[in-house]
Amino acid sequence: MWSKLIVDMNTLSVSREPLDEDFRELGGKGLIAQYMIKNVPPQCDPLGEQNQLIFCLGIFAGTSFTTAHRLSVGGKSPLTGGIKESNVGGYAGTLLAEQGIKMIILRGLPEKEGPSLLHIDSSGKAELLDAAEYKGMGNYDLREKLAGRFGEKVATITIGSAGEMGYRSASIHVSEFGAGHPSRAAARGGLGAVMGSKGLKAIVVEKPTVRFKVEYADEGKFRETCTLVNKVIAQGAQNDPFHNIGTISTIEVTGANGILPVDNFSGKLFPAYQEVGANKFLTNLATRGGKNKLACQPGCVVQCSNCYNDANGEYLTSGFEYETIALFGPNCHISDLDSIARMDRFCDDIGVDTIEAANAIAVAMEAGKLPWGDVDATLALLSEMKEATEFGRILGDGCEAVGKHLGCKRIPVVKHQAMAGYEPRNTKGTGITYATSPMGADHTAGLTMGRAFDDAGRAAQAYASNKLQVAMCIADSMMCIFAFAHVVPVMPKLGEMMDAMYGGNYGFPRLAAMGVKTLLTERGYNKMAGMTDADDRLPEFFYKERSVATGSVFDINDYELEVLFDF
Amino acid sequence: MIYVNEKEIPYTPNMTLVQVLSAAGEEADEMTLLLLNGKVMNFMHHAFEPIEDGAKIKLLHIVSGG
Repeated sequence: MWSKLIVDMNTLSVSREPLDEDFRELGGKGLIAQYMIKNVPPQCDPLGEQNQLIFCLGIFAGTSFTTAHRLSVGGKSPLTGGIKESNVGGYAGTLLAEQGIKMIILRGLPEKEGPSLLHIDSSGKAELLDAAEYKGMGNYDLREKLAGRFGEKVATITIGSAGEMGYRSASIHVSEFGAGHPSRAAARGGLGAVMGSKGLKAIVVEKPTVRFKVEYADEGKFRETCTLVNKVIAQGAQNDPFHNIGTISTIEVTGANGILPVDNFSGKLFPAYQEVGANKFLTNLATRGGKNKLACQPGCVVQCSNCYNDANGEYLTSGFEYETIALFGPNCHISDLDSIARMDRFCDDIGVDTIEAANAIAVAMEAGKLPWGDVDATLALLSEMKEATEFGRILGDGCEAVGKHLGCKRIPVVKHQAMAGYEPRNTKGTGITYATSPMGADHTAGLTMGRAFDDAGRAAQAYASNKLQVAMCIADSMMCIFAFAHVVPVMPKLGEMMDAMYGGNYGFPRLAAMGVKTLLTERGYNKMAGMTDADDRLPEFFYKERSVATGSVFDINDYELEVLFDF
Repeated sequence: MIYVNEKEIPYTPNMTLVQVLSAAGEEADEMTLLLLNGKVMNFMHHAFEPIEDGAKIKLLHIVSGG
């Protein structure tokens, strides 16, 4: 039977208990929504005693289903003030599944000074250890120290100094499968600050001596169906740019279609977008000993990850993704891929969300704090977060904090969270998702990029956003969304897998119902936290300023946004 | 001969990319990228350009955001 670890930071104690029967069939995003609504007061202080931080596995954890071991992290967000689920690849999910631990729940606040470390050893014993020696350390040094102490094969979940200092853009970092770099981030919503507030610097998971075995209602049926679905995903991945190139390939589409944000979402085109595009990336990988087609977790068939080296062939960063490149690149008028990689590495090391940091820099550029496209000034400003200067602390609190501090009128946030790398005037369905997602402006909540949607009119855009937001709630409860995209031809098979694992004969409607319930629960939580319809809007400038690239404004009206979830 | 996703298409002089893909029974739109002899290209920017004999084309369809 699956277990949960309850980590009480008041008493510095850890207990291992059977997973609640209510949560047996849930995983990932769906599990976090149901746990939060029952256990975490919506009006609590995100960095206070009553908030909890939850790590949990997906519905098919412990099986051979591809990408089943993505790790979801949840809690009340110090950035949005609402519910937050942020999920991440890496190796920790796999080892937690092998340990038979489906959830880790952090409660309370510590009385003692200095951080702790949660260690789960190969026998399954979990205990809190003093981690004072790691205080203030960046994720890269910390990973190296932990690997030196507990072994190279451990999985680590860590925060950098940003999480310890309570920055509202602080991320949580998971080590990659293989090389172990701490470059996979549960980045959005400031959950790293929640971990910091609990006084937990790291979780170290060892490979267990005895591997946990999952229970199935019908193991033979599950294995047969899972093998087929894995095969379909693997076939689909062969023609997926994310597998063949990496997520940077998205630049080639967004840059050509006015969807790539440029100069703080000005709506302009960026003619030099290919300087930060796929061919430059592939050339740099080939000439410097970098790699793509890497799996961040065992068993992934999409393999979209990468290792990016500098001009001397030395490791610079990994998990170098589209969002970081788009937002530190064209959106800050920067067109040098190596410089963006250095920004990515810096943010990963101190542990902040690159989307939030890059948008904050773009807003600061617009306000005249630093010149457009100035790489050195950008790196200097980012380093202020590490030095904890007055402005560095504001920067660490994200895009909106910087915009308000500098008096900037154009701040691209929804629910206080900065936008991802898609211009909402030119992919309006995505704009609807930005506006209405309980997560805030989020690129993984239901991206509707593609002219087919926009040409089909407003109703089609709203329809696409609605359906995709439900679909992403399903995906984030069980797998990586990049693999989910290839399941479409055999979608009902996921319902058959669910039945074979948990019993019953419900088929796909069971999953669809879970997706709707998750979304409505998240919206309900936010409402109880104090959010209203007014929080489901884009910033005013998207409605008033025309995109120079296409002439479009975001013209989805309030009524269309308010009825989106009238199921 | 031109190769589209490893399928062989007989070459005729001045064949455009659109004609090659049509002959291969493949569809492409603004969400399609190409690997043309290993180089990444946006389909919409090169749809009506001629393709050389011996070209190897792999069609890549963007299915989700990064």
